[in-house]
Amino acid sequence: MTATSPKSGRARFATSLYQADDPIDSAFARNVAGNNALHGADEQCRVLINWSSMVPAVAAAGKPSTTVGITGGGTFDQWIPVRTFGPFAISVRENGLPYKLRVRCASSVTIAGPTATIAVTVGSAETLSDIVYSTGENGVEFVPASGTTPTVLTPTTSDIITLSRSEIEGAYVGRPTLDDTAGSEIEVVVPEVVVRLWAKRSTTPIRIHQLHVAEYVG
Amino acid sequence: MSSDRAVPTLRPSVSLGGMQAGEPVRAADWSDIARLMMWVRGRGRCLVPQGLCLVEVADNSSETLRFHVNPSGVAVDRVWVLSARSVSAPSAFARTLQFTVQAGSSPVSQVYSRRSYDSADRDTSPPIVYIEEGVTKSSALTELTLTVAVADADGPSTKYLEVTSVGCWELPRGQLSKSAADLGISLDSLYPRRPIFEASYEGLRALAAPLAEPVRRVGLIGHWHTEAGVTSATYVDVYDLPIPVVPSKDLIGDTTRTCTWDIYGRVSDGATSGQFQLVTDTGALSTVISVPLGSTTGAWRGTGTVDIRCEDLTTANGVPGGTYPTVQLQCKRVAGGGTVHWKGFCLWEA
Repeated sequence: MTATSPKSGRARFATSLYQADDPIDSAFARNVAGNNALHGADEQCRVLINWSSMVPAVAAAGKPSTTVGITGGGTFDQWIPVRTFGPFAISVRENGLPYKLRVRCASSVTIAGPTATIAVTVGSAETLSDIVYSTGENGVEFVPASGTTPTVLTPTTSDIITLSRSEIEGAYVGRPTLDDTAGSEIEVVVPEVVVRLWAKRSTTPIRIHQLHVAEYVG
Repeated sequence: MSSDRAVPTLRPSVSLGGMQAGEPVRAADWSDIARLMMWVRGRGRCLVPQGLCLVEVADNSSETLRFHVNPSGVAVDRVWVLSARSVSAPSAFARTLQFTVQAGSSPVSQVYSRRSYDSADRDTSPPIVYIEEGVTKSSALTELTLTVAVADADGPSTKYLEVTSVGCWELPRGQLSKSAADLGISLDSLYPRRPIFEASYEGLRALAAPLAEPVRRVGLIGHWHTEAGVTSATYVDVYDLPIPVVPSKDLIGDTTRTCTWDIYGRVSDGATSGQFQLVTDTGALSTVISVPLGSTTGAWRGTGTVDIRCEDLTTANGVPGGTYPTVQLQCKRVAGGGTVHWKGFCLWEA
C-alpha cells in the first residue's frame, strides 16, 4: 500500500451538508477531510516528460527524424549524454524526501545485432551538469536491446528513481514572483531537477523513440 | 508576506491516528489538513510535459508554439523550459544563433543564444528557462502560446534554430488569497484555542470547498511539431509506439479517468476533410475530432474525450495491473484527394 490516504481515493461529499451550526464528527474529519487532503497530495504528481517519436511516413517529409539518439561518431561502449530535459519542479515531503520518479523508455538500432543501452538520471541542474554516468549510479538503466523495431525497454532492476535528501540539497531554487495578480514582489523556493538521457552503443546507431518520466508518491 | 495563507514549499505531514470515534478532533489536526490543502492548491501543476517538438525556425522568421489545456486557475506565473540548437551549413562550422522567446500574456521577451552542437548526438547545453509573467488566473480552456523568433543579421543565411522539446509548468504561489479563485485558508484561524466562527475562508468553513474539488493532474501530453500529414482513407497510427499515459485517480473506486484532448490541424484544400481518434491499450476509442471541409487554416478543432485506466496507488510504480495505460493517435482522410495536416496534439485532465 503506497497511498497515504486511508481510502486511496477522494470521498465525495456535498458542501451544502456542512453549513453553520451543523456538527462535524471525528469520522468526517478522518474519512473525508483528512482522507481527501492526503489523496489530493498523493495525486498531485506531475508528468515531467512525455516524448514520443512519430511514424516517419506521417512526419513532415524532408525534415529531421523525430527520434533522438546516436547517429554516428563518438566512441563505442561509452555513455553519451544524448539529451537534457527540464528543469522541473518536483514534490518534496516535509522530511526532505522527494516523490519517486517513474521512468519508461523505448529504442531501436539501425542494424540488427549490435546492442544499445539506455539510462536515465535525475539530479539538480548544479550537480548533473558535470556528471559522467557510469553503470550502477542512481538512475534507471535498461537491458541492452538489439532489435530494429521500436521496443519498450525492460529496466535492469526497477523503473523507479528514488532521490535521497543529499541528492537534492542543491535543487532548491529561489524564483521571483508576485504574491497575487498585480501584487507585491516576493520570492518562492522551488525544488527543481533536470533529467538526463544517456545512451551507449556497440557498433550501430541508436534511435530512442520514447521517454516518459512522471512523479509517483510511492 | 503574511504566513497566514502561505503555501508550504514542502508537503506537510498529516496524522490521522488521533482522529477516533467519540474523541474531539484537535485544532492542530485541522491546521495540518489546511496546510496540506494549501500545498495541494498552491504548488502549481505541470501544464505541458516536456515532449515532442521538432520545429525549425529560419533566420529572420518566427514560429508560435501552441498548446491547449485547462490550467489550475491559481498560478500567476508559468515556467517554460525548452531545448534548442543552432543548425548551419556547412555543418562543420559551429555557429551561434540569437533568438527571442515570448509567451502569450507576458509583456517581455527574452533574448537567448545557442551554439550548434559539436556533435549532433549529444546535448549538454544548459536548458532555456523563460518565465511567463502576468498569467490570468483561470481554469477555463486556455491556449498557451510561445513565440520563438530568430533575428541574427550577421551569420550565414542557411542557418536556422531547431527547437527540439518544450515543456511548461506553473510556478508555485507564495500565498493564496481569500477569494473564490484561490480558496486560500486563514491558517491563523485554525490555531488551538481560537474561537469557532463562520467567516469566509476562515476556520473549518474554509476547508469545505477545496476538499470537495476533484483531483486534477492537468498536463499528460503536449506535442507541437513541424506539420505532419496523412492521405490515407483509413485510420493510420501516428506514433511509432502508443504513448504511455497514467492519469490521476479521483474518487474512491475509480479505475478510469475521462481525459480531454485536442488537435491543431487543417486540410490542404477546400474539398478535403479528415478525422482523428485515440485508441487506448484496452481498445477503447475516444470521441472523434473532425477537420471539416474548407478548414484550410490551422486551428484547434474542438475538444474530445477518452477514458483511460487511472493510477493505482497500491502498486510499486502506480501503473495499474502492471501494464502501462497508453493512447495511440490515429488520423484519416474522409473526403477529397488532399492531405490532412496537424501540428499540435494535447491530452490533459480538464
